[in-house]
Amino acid sequence: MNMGALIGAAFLVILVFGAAFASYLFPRDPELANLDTIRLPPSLAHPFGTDYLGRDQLALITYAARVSLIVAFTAGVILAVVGTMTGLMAGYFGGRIDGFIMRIADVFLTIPTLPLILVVVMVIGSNLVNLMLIIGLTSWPSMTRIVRAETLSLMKRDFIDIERVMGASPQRIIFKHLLPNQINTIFVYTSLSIPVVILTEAALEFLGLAPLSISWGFMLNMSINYWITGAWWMSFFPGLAIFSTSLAFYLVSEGLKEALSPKLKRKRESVQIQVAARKR
Amino acid sequence: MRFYLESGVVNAVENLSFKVRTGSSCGIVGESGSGKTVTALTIMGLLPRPPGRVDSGRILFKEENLLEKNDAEMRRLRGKSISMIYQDPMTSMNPVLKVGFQVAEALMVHEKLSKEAAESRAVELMSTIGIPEAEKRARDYPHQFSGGMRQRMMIAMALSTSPDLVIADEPTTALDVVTQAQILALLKDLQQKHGMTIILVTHDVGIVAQLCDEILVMYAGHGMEHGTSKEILADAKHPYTRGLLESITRADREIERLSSIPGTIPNLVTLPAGCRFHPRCPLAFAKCTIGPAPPAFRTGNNRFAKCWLFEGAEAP
Repeated sequence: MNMGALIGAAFLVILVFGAAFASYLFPRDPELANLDTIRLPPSLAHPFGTDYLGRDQLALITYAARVSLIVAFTAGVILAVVGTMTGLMAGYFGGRIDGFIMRIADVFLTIPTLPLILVVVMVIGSNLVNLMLIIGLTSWPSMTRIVRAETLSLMKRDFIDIERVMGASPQRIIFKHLLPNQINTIFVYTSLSIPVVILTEAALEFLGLAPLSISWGFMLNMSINYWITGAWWMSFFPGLAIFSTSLAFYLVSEGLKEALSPKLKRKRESVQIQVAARKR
Repeated sequence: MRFYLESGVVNAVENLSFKVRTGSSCGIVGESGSGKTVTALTIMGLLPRPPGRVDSGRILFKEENLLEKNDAEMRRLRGKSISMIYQDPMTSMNPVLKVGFQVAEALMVHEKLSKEAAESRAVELMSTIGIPEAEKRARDYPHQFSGGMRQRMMIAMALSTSPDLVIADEPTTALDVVTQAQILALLKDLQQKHGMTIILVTHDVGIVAQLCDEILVMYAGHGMEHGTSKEILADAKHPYTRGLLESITRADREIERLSSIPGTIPNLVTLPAGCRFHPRCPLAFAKCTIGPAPPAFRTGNNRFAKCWLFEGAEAP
């Protein structure tokens, strides 16, 4: 099994656990200021140090994990659903529908994502729900391309012809035959997109456009003001959190890709057979 | 039936006219490129309409002209009244779905059976068709079966809705001879039991001899000869058919050299004038090279051949 994927998965399990049970692990309201403990470096009492309001950073980071995870998950789901639907339709129907969908996708792909999101956020506002929607709805085009390509190659296969021969309706062919053959790809690609979602969300918070009070990006935002005081831990730990979470998702999706890829699977199986044979 | 391409117009099928009696089996025989698969697909309405186009003619099925039907009507017919069996069983099934589901699908689509009801019918069909332990194996995936088994399942799928007409496009070409014999026996048995009409498209005359009551010989998009298989195999009239039959190896005769018909099929965009076979025909004469292709001439009871050699007989 892929070592990296295991490490990533372990990290994510701990993270999700921590985020879910944050209120049990840290019963005190993490946002309460305590002016006695301002900007303390990491210590046994405060493993991640304290911030400019004297709040324990470990607690803050754990609570903030919720935001990142929720946005990552829902934006990922929106991205997957919209991207898959549009990719399947473009691939199956071709012609004008394909042209229409792909032109819209091209628009999203050529406009730089972050400025686009910035503008949209400034217009619609930036609460949690909007964030999830906006990030999800601007990231679907790359998924569409992939699903469309796979659909087109699947369409050339005999069994799709035979479904038509049998008189199956387009819905049947799309959902019961084209989609099941692509679940692997869709899954892997969605999890590969999540690091980008996390980074985008952190970037928005960092730039001050998404004032969610506890979030990693916002912590980073405030920490800049305190560099001259030498409080490096105020930037380091939120940054580390963003980095490790993205990395963990990436490692897990690479592991998934390897596990689900048929060619690599065959290679691994043949290696296993050889190992078993040698043992005997 | 023509294909209108940028590089030219391909005259895939022309002047083809034949009837298949209900309950009989008709074999369409010809070389690769003779238009047999195109004919089968045109009957099913499965050819992509640009660039293909049926410029004239009718296809009558149960007194209705199939060419006049729209997509939705054809979809209702396909799989229910007219089924088709494809050539390559290895790629004909969806690799990620269980076979029980796939065999049952036609029933779910056309007879609106529930998944459970359709799947239990499918299991029955599978065991009738010769798959052992059908109930257990219905939960397996296609790659767990051999080619012969898969083709049996394709046949089960095609027959599940008790269609009136089954079109089989080279159903045994991808299989070994032993399996081929089994599949043909199965088809014959099923045909007799259910009284289905079969159109079997193949390049293998041996198969047609075994299974079909009637033969239609096609060459370069034209139907060259038609008649009962007994008559044609015993005494073919058309020079092309004779050439085909002579090129088969026989176990009951000593053959020193294999005979073959020299040349290749013509380019369907730039066809020769006159009879399409004349460049390769050993009996061609002046009339064969000019003018339109020969029409069908009667060569017996319910037989015809399109060859000027038989001019003087009435039209069939």
